[in-house]
Amino acid sequence: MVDIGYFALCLALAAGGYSVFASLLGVHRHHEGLIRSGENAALAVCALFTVSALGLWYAIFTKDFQVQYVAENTSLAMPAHYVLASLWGGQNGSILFWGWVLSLFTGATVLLNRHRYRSLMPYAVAVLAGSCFFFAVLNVFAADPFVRLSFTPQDGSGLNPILQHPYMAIHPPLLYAGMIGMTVPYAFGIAALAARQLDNTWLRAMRRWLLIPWTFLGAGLLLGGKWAYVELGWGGYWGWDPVENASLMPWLAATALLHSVMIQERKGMLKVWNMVLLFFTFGMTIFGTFLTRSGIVSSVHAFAQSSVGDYFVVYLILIVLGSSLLLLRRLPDLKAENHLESFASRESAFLLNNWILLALLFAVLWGTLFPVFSEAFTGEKITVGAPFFNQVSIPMGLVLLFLTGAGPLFAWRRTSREGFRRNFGVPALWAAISLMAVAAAGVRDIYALMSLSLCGFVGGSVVLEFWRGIAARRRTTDESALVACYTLLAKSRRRYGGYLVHVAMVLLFVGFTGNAFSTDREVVLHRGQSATIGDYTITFETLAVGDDDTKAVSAAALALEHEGRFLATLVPERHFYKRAEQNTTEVSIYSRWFEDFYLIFVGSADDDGSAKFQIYINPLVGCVWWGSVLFVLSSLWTMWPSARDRRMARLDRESSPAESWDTPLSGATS
Amino acid sequence: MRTKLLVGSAIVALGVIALMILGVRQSSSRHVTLDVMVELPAAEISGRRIQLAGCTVVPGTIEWDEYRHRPVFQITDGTRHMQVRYTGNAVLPDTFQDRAQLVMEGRFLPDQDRFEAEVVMAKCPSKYEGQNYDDHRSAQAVETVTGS
Repeated sequence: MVDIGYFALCLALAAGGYSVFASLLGVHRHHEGLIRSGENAALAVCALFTVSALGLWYAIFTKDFQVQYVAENTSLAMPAHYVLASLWGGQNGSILFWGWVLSLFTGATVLLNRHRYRSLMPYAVAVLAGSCFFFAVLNVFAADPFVRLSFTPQDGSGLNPILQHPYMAIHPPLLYAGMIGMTVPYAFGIAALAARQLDNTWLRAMRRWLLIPWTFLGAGLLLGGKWAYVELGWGGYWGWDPVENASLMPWLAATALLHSVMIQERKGMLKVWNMVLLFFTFGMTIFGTFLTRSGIVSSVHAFAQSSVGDYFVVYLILIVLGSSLLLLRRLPDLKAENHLESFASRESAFLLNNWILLALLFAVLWGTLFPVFSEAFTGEKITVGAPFFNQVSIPMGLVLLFLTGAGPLFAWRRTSREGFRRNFGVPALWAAISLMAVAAAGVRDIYALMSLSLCGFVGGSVVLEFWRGIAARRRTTDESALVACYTLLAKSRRRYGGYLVHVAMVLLFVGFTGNAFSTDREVVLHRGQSATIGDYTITFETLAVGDDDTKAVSAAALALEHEGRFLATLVPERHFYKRAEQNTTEVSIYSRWFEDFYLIFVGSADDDGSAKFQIYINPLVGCVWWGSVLFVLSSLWTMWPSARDRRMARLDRESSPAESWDTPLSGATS
Repeated sequence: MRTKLLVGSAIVALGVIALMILGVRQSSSRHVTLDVMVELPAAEISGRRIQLAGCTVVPGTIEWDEYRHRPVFQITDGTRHMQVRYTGNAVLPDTFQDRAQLVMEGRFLPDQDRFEAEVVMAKCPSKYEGQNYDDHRSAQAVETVTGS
């Protein structure tokens, strides 16, 4: 199986190269057979990468320790579901995984568009197959996961214990899917430029394919945060580490693009800007990958320094040069059809949203690369920490939050004074009420006050939009309010699904704001002793130790009371993994509606049995998790094809315009 | 409209730049490796926050306090050794152990030849790195010899 896997990889390389060649030659000569052949070759790449990945999985499952990758990333004692994760646990395997997922996206793009976007597809396939080709090259020449050792070890070194966690098994594939999936919208962008098909058709294709990786990436980021929170034991979920930033940046760029695309669809403006933004989004995914694999910035969890970084530099240069040259040649085709007419318009609000998102992105990029810049210019390598990122991102985040609510309230083109009053009245009232409520609750932190009042504002704006939609439906139909609400959501998925995503953002911001009120304490307790932290009292009841083959466990039991009422017995633990000689803390979290009580067992003294605990009280953190869930659900809802989309797709298939090949300019076919 | 737009974007840009400059002032620390740090003139060290990278924990030198919270330990870059005292509040990351690769933030006290770390990040050994196969084999071999 190992040899088959390697062989499949080599074949994938060849098929990828052929697919690029056949697609481009086919479109150049208007030869349909060649174009189809290119598409089929892309499907073959997909099949071959699948075989290769299965080959590595087979080696992992059969514990074939002669394969170096298997020996380094699995062990006999590892439970089966974590063995699954070993495929992407190490550098070489993760690159194979990357290529595989990319080939799956490629295959899906080909299969779903057999009858659609025909004039775009050859170029899109060429770009996608070209990227698959790059990863195949990388796998074969720089990061071969199938290398054999000269001997067969008894056992492998295994995956690190703290990574053996369900969240950690899902989080990397989600992030990968998000990063990799950005290749598809990029391919459609290049195709639109190359085929000079710059009407709204490609935009629709691009937008749908952008939503998918955007959702994956967002979910991956949030899940990573959740993992850090429950597993790492420092009381927080986001540390502004370069690797975290590397995946946040493309998400920010894609978020900006998702919004500005609407202006292009509707008003024919910002065409160049959107194209640049699309290239930039894709570029950020590759740049981020390069950042985490080249070792140019030190991070807690960057990959080993290896020659893979050099390949990424070449790849990135090719992408930047190719994309910009193509864009420059097509600039005359990208003339705006309209101009901005007023500041008080939806266009302006979206534009400002774009600027702030990009400014935030650049601030994050600046902070991440600051060590590199400062070393280049002053010779001193200066790093900036979390306080920098917080200080920069909080004000910008607040402006974004305001725009989230305000954007939909502005009319297209120009908002009249009357419309302004009518639209902003209710949300402003909500903002005022939340401000007063929060201030009455004793909050004095200026950012927290602003943030929570803006959350009220956005909430008011979304409710107003729904209310108006429902009222409009009920005037013409006899639907009940609930049915009307559902019809709105089902018929205008983009619009109302988008509002639900905004609600998710509000929840996330409420959760982030909670950080302003979190407290932490450190206490030493003897058995039977109590300590009071805020409204909570903990009593250290007992300490138990145990031991099995893989680890030694010590667990403390504490009774948690809130204002004299017993809530639960918390059992934070410390594990010592004998094999890895590593300690892990198993925190105990008691979640209430408004806050989490987060308890860490630091350690116990051998002589008198006293123990030390660390306590974080994290208000509102639950909103982050609820916001995450809503984010994923509402994004899925938004991207799900509506009844109308499905009808259109069927029409496309039936009218089968695949014969209208003769010229690449023969009109987009949807 | 065009001029208004330019003015608007200029205001946004200035605001962002101001934020970034202020932010850097408040939370920067100098990134050095051990060999560079010990050679630095005293004026550049005193009171300056330093990020020290590229060292590993010397095996067997971690001395915990009674609650396993704030240890004193030795680090090495292969040629030099230095004592580190952890002074931070957070519980050290689970990956902090013998041979762990560290990135630390804190202050260097040249007169005591000691680094006081407020933040200790141990490289996620994963997965991604650190699990050098040869090291692992030799460690196993030692284990077998000592019979532990």
